[in-house]
Parts: sequence; structure tokens; C-alpha cells
Amino acid sequence: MTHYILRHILISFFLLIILSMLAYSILVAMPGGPLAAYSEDPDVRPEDIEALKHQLGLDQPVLIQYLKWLGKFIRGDWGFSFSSKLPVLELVISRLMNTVYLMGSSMLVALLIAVPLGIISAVKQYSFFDYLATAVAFFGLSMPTFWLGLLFIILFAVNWPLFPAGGMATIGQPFSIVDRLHHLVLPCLTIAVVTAGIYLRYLRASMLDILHQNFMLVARSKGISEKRVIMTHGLKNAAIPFITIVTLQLPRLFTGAVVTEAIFAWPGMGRLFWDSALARDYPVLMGIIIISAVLVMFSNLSADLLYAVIDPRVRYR
Amino acid sequence: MNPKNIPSANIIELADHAHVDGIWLKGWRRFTRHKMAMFGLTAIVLLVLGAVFAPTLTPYEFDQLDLPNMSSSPTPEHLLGTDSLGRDLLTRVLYGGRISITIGVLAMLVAIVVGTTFGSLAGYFDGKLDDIISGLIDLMLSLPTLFVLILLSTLFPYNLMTIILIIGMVRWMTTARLVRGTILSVKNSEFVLAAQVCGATSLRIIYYHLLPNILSPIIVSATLGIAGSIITESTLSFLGLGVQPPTPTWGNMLREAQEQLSTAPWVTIAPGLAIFLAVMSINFIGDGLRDAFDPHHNQ
Repeated sequence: MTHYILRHILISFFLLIILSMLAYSILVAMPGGPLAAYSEDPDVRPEDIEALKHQLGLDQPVLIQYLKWLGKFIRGDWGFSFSSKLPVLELVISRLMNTVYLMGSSMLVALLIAVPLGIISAVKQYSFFDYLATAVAFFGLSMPTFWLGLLFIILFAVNWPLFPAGGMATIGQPFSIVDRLHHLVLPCLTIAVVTAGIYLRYLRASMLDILHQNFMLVARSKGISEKRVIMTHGLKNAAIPFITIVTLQLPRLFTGAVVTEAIFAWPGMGRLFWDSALARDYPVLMGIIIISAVLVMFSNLSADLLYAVIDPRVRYR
Repeated sequence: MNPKNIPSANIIELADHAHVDGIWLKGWRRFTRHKMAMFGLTAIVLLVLGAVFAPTLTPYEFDQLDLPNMSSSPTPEHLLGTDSLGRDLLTRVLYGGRISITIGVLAMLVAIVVGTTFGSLAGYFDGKLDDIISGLIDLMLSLPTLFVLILLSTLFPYNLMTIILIIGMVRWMTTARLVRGTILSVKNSEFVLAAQVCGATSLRIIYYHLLPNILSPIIVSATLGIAGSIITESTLSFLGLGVQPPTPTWGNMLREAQEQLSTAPWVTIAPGLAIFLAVMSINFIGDGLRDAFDPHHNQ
């Protein structure tokens, strides 16, 4: 087990180095570069741009730039954003918190919708309830997130102004939990509905697989109550493939949803990445890329370990 | 039972049955009984026909301005209404379907070809090649798709070809994993050994002996891949990184509609409904195909 974990951490480390090299060279190759905005500004002379390039180290060979960046990055100096002049580490961490808040709550809501619906629709297969759940699942699976978000704004922010159309809190007001939750509802529901569709589909399928197994018959014939047969013997086994799906989605907890955050003006990681890509702000882009890759690899590893906890048959060497 | 004891007439009968119920015919029968799949097939055929025959179906051009009827709600002349420049939305949705569906299908083909090639190579020649390809898959999966898409699309010029390739490039990994896993599990079977003994080359074994075994999951994942690619394309266009106006796609129509959320909601409804319908129909078809052809999903 320890060997397995160590080996995977080593592989992840190796992948991270390759990823950072690739990402760095792609970012340097971006047309225009971070100073493109200045080249069209009549107030900025070409000499100033050259000086600025030199000052930011942009005139050196790519490999040297990369190694310098790597050295500083490892020591915790992630540089400063070209556009907002804030330290990258600080910026990314603060956005990360906002994203975890949004994505965490929407994944929770998605699970609250999908788990009970998925179990009931598998147990009562081909019932009215099953068709209803299937309809909900296909609705979520086929819904483009950005359209759902726009529809929510039209319905619940414009037609019936129940919720604010964007932002995390009312500007200029002191912190209040009610106000925060009020702003959370629409973006959270947008992501939750789409995610619930995916969860529901998989949970129903894996639950159906299990319900037809012989050990379920054995459990019933032993006289165990139907509720316990389904919850203990059924759900626990059905949970294993389901956890794969949930953990595959787990990285989104940290990387956020670019589109939803853009529509609802949510100051999260996805939006920061999008803004930074438009501004060619590559200290920030590099920071986000590395931190999300680390979190993705970490959550994949914990998914593997979670299997071993849930399913005693799984052994890692 | 000793096979000699079966009357010969019964054997012929059995053989006849085996012949009649070939896997494709059987699957197709199961597929046509799947109500949602048939609904999906009908809807998608109608959408494609609408896109192909758009010029004869509507009296308007997709970029034809009608300034007296700017942002008009649905009327008999403009069935789905008009946008802020007075362009007919039904016309634009039909023309938009051309680009969106084409990109969806072609990007899926790129993803399936790349994914099947890499997946079968990694599964068949394990060892170093497998390590490299699996590492590449892990690398690609360690970043959110949209991040990779945004990075790639800032690198390359916006045209149809690059958009198709970019979308294909971020979607091949799941197919590759599926193919690799299946090939790993069947490549030690006797029939592969038999082929090797006969002197078949590795590529021939992969192509003629291994890939047919996973044809049905590949077809299912290809079908669902079209739906995914359509959503990806519309997301890219929505962010302004896809096909550029004035060429309408469902995604860039939604991008333009954003400015009129409160004044003209129908501008948002029409293209979004088109995406939703197309994607849902394809998902239904994929579901029907899975029920019909994938033995592991038969309940």
C-alpha cells in the first residue's frame, strides 16, 4: 500500500514537470504575448516596451525563462499578475476558496438529488417514478450549462426577480450569510442540475447490475428486511463504480466551471483562468495550471485509496 | 448429450435460427423497439434535413437584416422571432445547425480515430509504449478540458479545421482508455494465439481480430461523443473562441443573445433549444444502441 502511494506520487511528480514545461512553452508561443496591449497604445514608446520586456525577463531564451520560473515557483514565489499586479499565490488561493464554496455546494445538491432518485428508480424499475427519474437524468445530461444558466437568469432574476443575477454578495453591504446564500442559489442550481443528471444515470445503472446478483437473493432468503438488503447489500456494492464517477468529477471542485462563473460573474478559478487567458497573463495561468493539476492528481489517488476502504477485495501492491 | 443423438432436422433448424438472428439484425430489432431511441433518431434526422435544406425552407438569408422588425417576438413572418439586427432566428438556427452538427460529427471522428489507435497500441504492445501512452492520457486528463481548449484556441487561428482538431484532441482519452482496457482483457485469448501462430502481423491482429470485439462500445461512445462535441463547440463559440460571426452557430448565437436577456428572451431560447434537442436526441440514440448492442448492459 505504502509502496503503491509512493510510486504514484513519484509518477505524478514526473508528470507535473512535463506538464509545466509544455504549458510554459505553449504560453510563451501565444501570439501577442503579455505586452500585446501596450504595442497598440500610442502613449507607450517601443523603447519602453523593450525595457519592460527586459525587466520582466521576457527577452531571454524560453528554457532559461522556464528554469528561472521553476526555481522561484518551488520556493513559493509564484510571481505577480501582469494585469492586476497582485501576487499570484494570494490571488489563486482567494479564488480557490470561492470556487470550492460554489462547486462544493452544487456537488452536494447534485448528490442529494441523485442518490435517493437513483436508488428508488432502480428498485422500482419501469415504474412511473423510474421514467420520471430517467427524464430528469436526460434533461441534466443534455442541458448545456450556459443555456441553463441564462434561462435561470431570464426566469428567476428578470421575470420574477427572486435571486440576484450575478456576483457573490451585494456590493457595499457588510458580510451576511443570508445574502451569500441568496447569491449562491442560481449558479449552484445550474451546476447541480447538470451534474445530478450524470450521477443519476450511473447510480441507476450500477444499482440495477447489483440488484440482479445472486447474493441479493441469498440476503433476502436469509430473512433480512428488504430495506437492509437494498441499503447494506445493494447500495454498498453499487457505490464502487459510482464513486469512480464522483471522483472523476472531483477536480471540478477546484477548477470550477469557466462558463457558469462567467455567466454569474462569480470570482472563482474558472473565471480567473478565462480572464488571464484573454489578458495573456501567464504567471497567473501557470499558477492555476499547476495547482489544478496537483489537485486533480491528488483526488485521483485518493479515489484509488477510497476503493480499498470501501471494497476489501481491492488490494494495491 | 452426445450430438449424434440429435435428429438432423433439428440441427438444420438450429443452424437456420443462428443464421436469421445475426448480431446486427438482432441489435437493430432491439433498437427499433426502444421508444426513446426512435424518437431521438426522428428528431435528429429532422434537424439534419432542416440544416441541409435550409435555403429552400426559409425565405430569408441567415445574415439578412430586417431593421423595422428588430428584436421582434415570434410572429407569423418570423416564427421564432428576430435578433437585435432583425435577422430571422429560425433561419439562423437552421443554418447554425450546419456548422454545429458538422463540427460535432467530425470532431467525434477525430477523437475516435486517435483514441482507438492509441488505445489499441497501448493495450496490445504493453511495456514502454503503454507507459508512454497511458502517461499522455493521464497528462491530458490532469487539466480541465476547458482550460486546454482555451489555451489551444488562443494558439491557433479560428477556422473550422482547427476547431474540429482542437475539440477532437481533448476528447480522445476516454475512448483510448476503453479500447486499451478491452484489448488488455482479450489479447491473451486462444483466438489471438491462433492468429499469432498462423503468422499474422500485430497490426492485422489488432485490426481484424481484436477491434471487432469492441466495435459496439466504440459505436456507443462515438454516438455519445457527437453530443459531447456539439456541447463543447457551442461552449467554445459562446466564449467567443469558436466559429466567428457572422457565420451563425448555436453557440455564437447564444453569445450575442446574452445582451438581450431581459428585453428579448426568445433570442436566447431558440438556439439553446436547438442544442438541447440535438444533444438529447443523440443521447437517446446512444442509450438505445447501448441497450441493443452492448451485451454487458442487457438486463
